Amino acid sequence: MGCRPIAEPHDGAPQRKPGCSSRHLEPSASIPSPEPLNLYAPTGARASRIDVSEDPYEYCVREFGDPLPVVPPTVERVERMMAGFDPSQVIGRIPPCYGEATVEKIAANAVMAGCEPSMMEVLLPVVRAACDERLNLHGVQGTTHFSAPLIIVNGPLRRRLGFACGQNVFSNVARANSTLGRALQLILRNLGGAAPDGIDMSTLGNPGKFAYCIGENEEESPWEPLHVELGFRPDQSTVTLFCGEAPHGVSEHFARSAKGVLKAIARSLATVWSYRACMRHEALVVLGLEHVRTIHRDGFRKQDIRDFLFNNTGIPLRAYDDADGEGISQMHSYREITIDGERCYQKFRSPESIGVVVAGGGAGKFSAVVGSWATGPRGSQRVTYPCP
Amino acid sequence: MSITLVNPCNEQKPVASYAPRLQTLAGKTIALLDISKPGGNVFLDRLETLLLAHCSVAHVVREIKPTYTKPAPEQLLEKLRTVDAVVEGLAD
Repeated sequence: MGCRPIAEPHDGAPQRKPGCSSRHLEPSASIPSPEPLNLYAPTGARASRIDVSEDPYEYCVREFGDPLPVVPPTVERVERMMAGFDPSQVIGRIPPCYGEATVEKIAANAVMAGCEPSMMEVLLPVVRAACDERLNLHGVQGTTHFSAPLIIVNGPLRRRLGFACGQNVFSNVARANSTLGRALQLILRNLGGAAPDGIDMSTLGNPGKFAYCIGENEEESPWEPLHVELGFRPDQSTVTLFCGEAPHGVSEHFARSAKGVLKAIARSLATVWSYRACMRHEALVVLGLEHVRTIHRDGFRKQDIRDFLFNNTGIPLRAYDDADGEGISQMHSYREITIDGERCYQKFRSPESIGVVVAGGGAGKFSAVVGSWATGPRGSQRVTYPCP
Repeated sequence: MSITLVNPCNEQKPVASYAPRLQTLAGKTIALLDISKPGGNVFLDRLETLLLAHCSVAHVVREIKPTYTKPAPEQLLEKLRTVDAVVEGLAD
C-alpha cells in the first residue's frame, strides 16, 4: 500500500525511555544479539579504580553522589569497610539496570554515605531485602509516584549501632539512621541506575530519597515489636523495607481514649493514595509515645489497633456522587460498611494492610501515616530480613 | 597529586541490537501491548482502527501486561516474539 517505513534504525528515539518500560539494554547496531545478564552468579567482577587529580569531593558529587557532598571512596576506606567479607560476593542485583551489588560496590557506596564499618552487618541484609522480588524495586525505581523504600530497624542491633528510635526519628538525629538510609539510596542510584533526572520518574519525589530509616522504639512500647509480630525472636535483629510516601503527620491532642486517637488516624488513613481509592493500597502507622500511652491504657494490643483502624477507615458513599474521579470506576469491587451510622466503602483489603510500629519522642500527641505505592503481588510487598 | 577511588557505580554495560526495521506495514501482524494503565485501551483502540483502515496490516493482536508495575512475564514475551512488530502503549 506504499506505507512509509514505520521507523529507521537510530531514528532519533531516546536511548533511554524512563518509566514503566525503561530500556535496560543499550542498543548497538554492530552487535548481533544481546548478551543476557546472568542474574544468578554468586560472585562478580572487582570494581575498577579511578585516579582522580582534581578535588575528590567535587569529582564525587559530579560523577556519583546525590547532590550533597560524599566521603570519597578511597581504596583504604573501602577496604576498611569490607574487612571480613569477600569483596566479590554478589549480594543482589539492583533493578532496573541490574547492576551487581558486590560487597565491594556496596562498601564503596557505604563509604560515600558516611557509614561506619560496623554498618555493613545491617546494610548487606538491607540490600538483600531491596532485591527481593516481592518488594518489586523495578517498579518502585521507575514510578511517577512518591514512594521510596523506608527501612525499619528492629532488635538489639538498634542500640548497639546507635539507631535513633525516639525524638526526630524520621529526620537528622542519628548518624546510623542517616548513613544507612543514604547508603541504600546511593546504591539504588549508582548500581540500579535510578537517576532522579532519568529512570526515576517520580513527579514530585520524596525527601526520603536522601535517607529514609527509622528504628522502632521497642523500649518504650508496651507491645511486641514489628519483628516479633512477624515471628522473629526478640533477641534477633531485622530490617524491614516498606515502599512508601513521606510521613503524613496526625495531631490528636484532645482525645482521651484509644478510640478517639485511632479515629483521628483513621481519617488520615482514608486519604492514602487518593481519597476515593479503596482496596489497593496499604499504610504504615507510626504511633507516637503519647498516643501509645492513651491507646494502651484502654487495653488495646497491636492487633486490636489494626482491627479498629480497618473497621473504622472508610469513604462515605456520598463522595462517589461525582461524575468522575480516581477510585470511582472500581466501586464494583469495594466492600460496604457502616461507620458511625454512615454508609461507607471500606478503605483497606484487610487489617494486615495496616502496619503498626511505635517510634518517636516522649512529648507531643502526634503519630504519622506512611501511605504505600501499589501493593500486593502486583505491586510492592513489605519484606523483612534478619541481620546475622 | 592524585587520589585513587573505588568505582561505586554499575560497570556492566550490556548492549542489544535493534530488531530489523519493517519496510512496510502491509500484510504484517502487529501486536498492541497494553501495560494495563487506565486509558491505555483508548489509545490502542484508535491505533488498531487506523492500522486496519489505512495500513493494510494483516492482523492486529491485542495483549495486556498483568500489571504495569513489573516487566512483562516470559509467556507474554514469547507471544510477542511471533509477530512482526509490537506497539506498546505507555502510561495513563
